[in-house]
Amino acid sequence: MNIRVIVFSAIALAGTAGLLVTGLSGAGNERGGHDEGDDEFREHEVVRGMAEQGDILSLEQILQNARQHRVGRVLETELEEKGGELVYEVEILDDNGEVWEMKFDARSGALLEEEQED
Amino acid sequence: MEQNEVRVWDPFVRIFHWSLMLTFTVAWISGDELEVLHINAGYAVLGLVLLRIVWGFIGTHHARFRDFVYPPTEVKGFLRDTLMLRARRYLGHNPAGGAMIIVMLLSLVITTATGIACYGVEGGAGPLSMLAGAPEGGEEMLEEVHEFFANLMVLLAVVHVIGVIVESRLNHESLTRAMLTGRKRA
Repeated sequence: MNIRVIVFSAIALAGTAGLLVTGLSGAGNERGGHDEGDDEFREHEVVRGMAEQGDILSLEQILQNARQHRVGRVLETELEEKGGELVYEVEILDDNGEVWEMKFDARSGALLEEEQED
Repeated sequence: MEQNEVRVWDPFVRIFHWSLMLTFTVAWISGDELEVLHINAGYAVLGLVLLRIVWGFIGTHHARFRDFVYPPTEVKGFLRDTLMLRARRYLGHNPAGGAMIIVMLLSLVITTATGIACYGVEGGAGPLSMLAGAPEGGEEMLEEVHEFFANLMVLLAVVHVIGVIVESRLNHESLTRAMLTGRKRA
């Protein structure tokens, strides 16, 4: 058999097997002890700590700020880390049926960004 | 080897074919759920596709693009003849099968490239990690292109299987078996 055929076949087989095994073991790790839920849990702990120490504003305060900017129904709130800073994201459905997403600095409560969702 | 059989598909072509089927399926299924598996399966798909493209130039006779890339008029003619049940048998890929390979390879290149770009923008990792922090709109577009071509690939695979079944029936041979053993009736 042609040497090229052997080389290409071996690379294809080894590469496929290697990547699938790596992927599967990675997926196993994700499931056991290091999945997204876990990270979120840790994030929760950190955030709660910061809120208790008064480092960041509470969600109630942020919602008050949000309502001053837009009147409507709050659809979703989220506390996210963006570039080392904690940011509250608030989605509001206004009376015209438009959905707005606002981002607030979690420490100062300042409105950072506001955009209409499509 | 049975009598009157000839070698058509070399081992690499066969390994490529079935490995691609497996890795694409894994990537497809793990798409939304298991990121590590999805990314590794995606790398495997890309690696296989790149090897196959090189093999299209330096591989064995029926593996070369030269052997199965036909002008569009010939592809149309072949499809018309197939509908009228008078298409001739090809030992290598027939013109429609050849066109399908080209479209599939292109779709997979686009799918994996946009996938790696998404991973770079969103996860800040992978070969395109320098894209990290690109505007959000860009990432959404990449993701849509990625999903569109992944979906197109599934559709192409279905059409491919239908084509294989029709060709196998018309020529009274199993093309699936040929892709496993590498041999076809002479």
